[in-house]
Amino acid sequence: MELAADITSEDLKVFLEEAEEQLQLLDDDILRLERDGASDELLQEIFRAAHTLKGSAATIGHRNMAAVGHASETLLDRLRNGDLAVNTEIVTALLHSLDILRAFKEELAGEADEEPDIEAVVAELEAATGAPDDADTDEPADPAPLSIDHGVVAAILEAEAAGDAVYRPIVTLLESCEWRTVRAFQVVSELSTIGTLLACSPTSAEIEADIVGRTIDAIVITKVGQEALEETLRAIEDVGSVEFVEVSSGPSPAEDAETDEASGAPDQSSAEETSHRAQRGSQTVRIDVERLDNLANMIGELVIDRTRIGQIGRVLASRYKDDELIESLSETTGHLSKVVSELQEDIMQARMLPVGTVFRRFTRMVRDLALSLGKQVEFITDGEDTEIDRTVIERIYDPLVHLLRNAIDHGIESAEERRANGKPETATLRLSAYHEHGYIAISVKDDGGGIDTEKLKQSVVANGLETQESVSRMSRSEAVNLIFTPGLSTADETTEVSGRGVGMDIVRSNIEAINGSITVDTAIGVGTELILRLPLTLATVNSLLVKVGKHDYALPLVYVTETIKISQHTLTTVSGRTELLTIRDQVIPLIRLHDIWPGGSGAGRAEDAVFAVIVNSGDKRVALGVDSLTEPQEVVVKSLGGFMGEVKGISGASIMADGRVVLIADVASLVNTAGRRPQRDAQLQSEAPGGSSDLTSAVAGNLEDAA
Amino acid sequence: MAKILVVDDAAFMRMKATRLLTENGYEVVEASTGAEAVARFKSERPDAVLLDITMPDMDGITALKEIRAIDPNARVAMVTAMGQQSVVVAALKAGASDFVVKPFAADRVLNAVEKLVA
Repeated sequence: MELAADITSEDLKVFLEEAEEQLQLLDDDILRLERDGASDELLQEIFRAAHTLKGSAATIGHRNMAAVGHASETLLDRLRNGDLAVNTEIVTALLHSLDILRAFKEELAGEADEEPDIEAVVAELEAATGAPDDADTDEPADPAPLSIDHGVVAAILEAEAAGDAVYRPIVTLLESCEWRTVRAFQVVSELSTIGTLLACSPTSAEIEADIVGRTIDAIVITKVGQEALEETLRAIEDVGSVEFVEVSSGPSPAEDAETDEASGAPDQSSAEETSHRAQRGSQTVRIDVERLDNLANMIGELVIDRTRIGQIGRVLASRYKDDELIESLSETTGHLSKVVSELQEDIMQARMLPVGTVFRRFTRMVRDLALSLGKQVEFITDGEDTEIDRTVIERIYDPLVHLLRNAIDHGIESAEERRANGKPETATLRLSAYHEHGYIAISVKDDGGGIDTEKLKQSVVANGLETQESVSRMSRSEAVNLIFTPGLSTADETTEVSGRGVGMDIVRSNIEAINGSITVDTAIGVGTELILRLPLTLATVNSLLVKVGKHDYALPLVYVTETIKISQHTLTTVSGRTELLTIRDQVIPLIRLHDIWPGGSGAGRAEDAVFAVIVNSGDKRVALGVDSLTEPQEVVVKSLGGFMGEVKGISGASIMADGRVVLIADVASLVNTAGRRPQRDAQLQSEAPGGSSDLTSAVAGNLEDAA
Repeated sequence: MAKILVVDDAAFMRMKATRLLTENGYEVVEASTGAEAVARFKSERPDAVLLDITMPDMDGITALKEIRAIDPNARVAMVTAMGQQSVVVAALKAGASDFVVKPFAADRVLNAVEKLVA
């Protein structure tokens, strides 16, 4: 056995003594492992002894001994991590490896002549280990190319404006570098130490995941200058070359996703290519949705502060008239206000996606479904360019799938039936999106058979969801809204297509969860139209602010149909408890919000509620009794932290300009727990919630009354 | 003369490192466990530490953290056999300045120590 050149006989003596100790320890411990079973401490001790032996063997240059040590260490590491459980096969393999190690030791000590063969035992260890140990030699996945997003471009611009230098060093590691991950980590650490690291490929997350190539591409702001930067990077072990690419904030130096995927590893992209890519630029950048959400949140805070500064300015202006400084404050506030509004609009715009992105996914689904049911359906989409917040888009996909399936499965008749009824054999299914009073409406309309309310009533009664008596009193539109009854299946038989246990009630609650609403319009023999009305964004919600006791609440306008003064309407009490308001011949239950949200000491008594806000959810309608009303405004939604748990009837919170906390009411759940159908609702369809301008004026009218 | 603390549970490895360093003009203090390393760091205040990662009692990362707690500017290079890079990254995160791979080449160790005491 050839040993390293600098090993003296004294070295060897110390090595052998220590190897004997480790071997003895391993002998005892492995037998203990078999006898007593594994414990963390025992496995750790065995691992450490094997590891030490391997390290020392490698240092004296004994490759074979180190190889066996390495194979046992790998097996032990998997045991230690709990990937493997101790069994006879493993113990046997470990004992065999000990025999070989001991044979090597004896050979080195001159106690034996034969150098043992390691192949069999290494194979045995590897078999016991399971997956071959190729983690060290495997080419890892390639990191994504440098991603330069809005934030980075903005930071570059800022730095340049401040006169700071921005560099883009591309560090290439030596071919021989065995620990790329560690070197990449060191490069990134150094860059972060001497400056501000704006972007990096591999990213920190990729480094953590061992996804590292030979090059490290970074953008850094630093005051040290290019020479010092280069020197620092070259001082890192295994760094082969450091090149600099010019950073220009001109056109965004964004990469083109497709080209990058094609060109693959950064290994292949030489500095020239990277530089070319950087200079070519592109008109779009990809950006993480999370970052957009963060920006939207921060702008939300900014909006609050802006309003607050405005209020303070007004107070100051009235307190110190004709003060030049305050005049200039108002001017500045005015400008700030304008900029913040534009910023808010822009960020909202950036979060918008055309609904076409989700509509496109349905074409294939509709085709396949129609084919499988033997129906002829022409699927038409309209208004694909209508833009809507991406979070809303994510939330409407499932409901739309359900509505389209229902339309094809239940709504549209078979070709024979259609022919018999004098309709074209090919049915039309139209999915359209359009703007309506500050909301986005999405309509799913078919020219099928329409909803058979008699059948629906029977089904509801048969399922024990309503009594025969109550359904017999229902108007047609009330009956139509029975499709939202929880637990109802509208199919005569549960079909494979729609019988998935997800009813229209789930669709409705999904839509209401994002402050949207759903209405139905149907006519026998003519077809059915379901209309979803959705907020443009989930970041803010147009709300009517009300006072209940000491506290303020926001009622999302999408649910509000009108506001009234209670005293001007007939109030009757039934069963000694439930109060009913009669408004234009309709009887609506009154929920005094004081009862649901007791406002603490000094709060107004429930009887004091002066105003009622009429809200609708689905087919139910209630009047919410409140103390006072303020004009509708856009509030920035902040979700209640998990620690608050589920607060009854509350979906979120917002902070007002003056620092007040306003809780956002979960109107749908309030209505569904306490609401009932209006006794007469000839106008239900036309009064669908939508935040019309009539509503705003109605509210304004009541505000005037209140003043 | 710069003082170096060499920490390794393997006497053989300590011997190799100590000899190399003393031959090149360094004063060397040794420790064979993490706990001993922390104690010796406190009493000896070395200019730099060569710290093995896998040791009984207290492993190298824990010792590193304790040493850095005693002196946040402590200059420590980790010594490790080929294995998981993530451990080294963890050590670098915990404040190690550098690392040396076992079996170490003499010039690599000297180079690392030189940088540490610079």
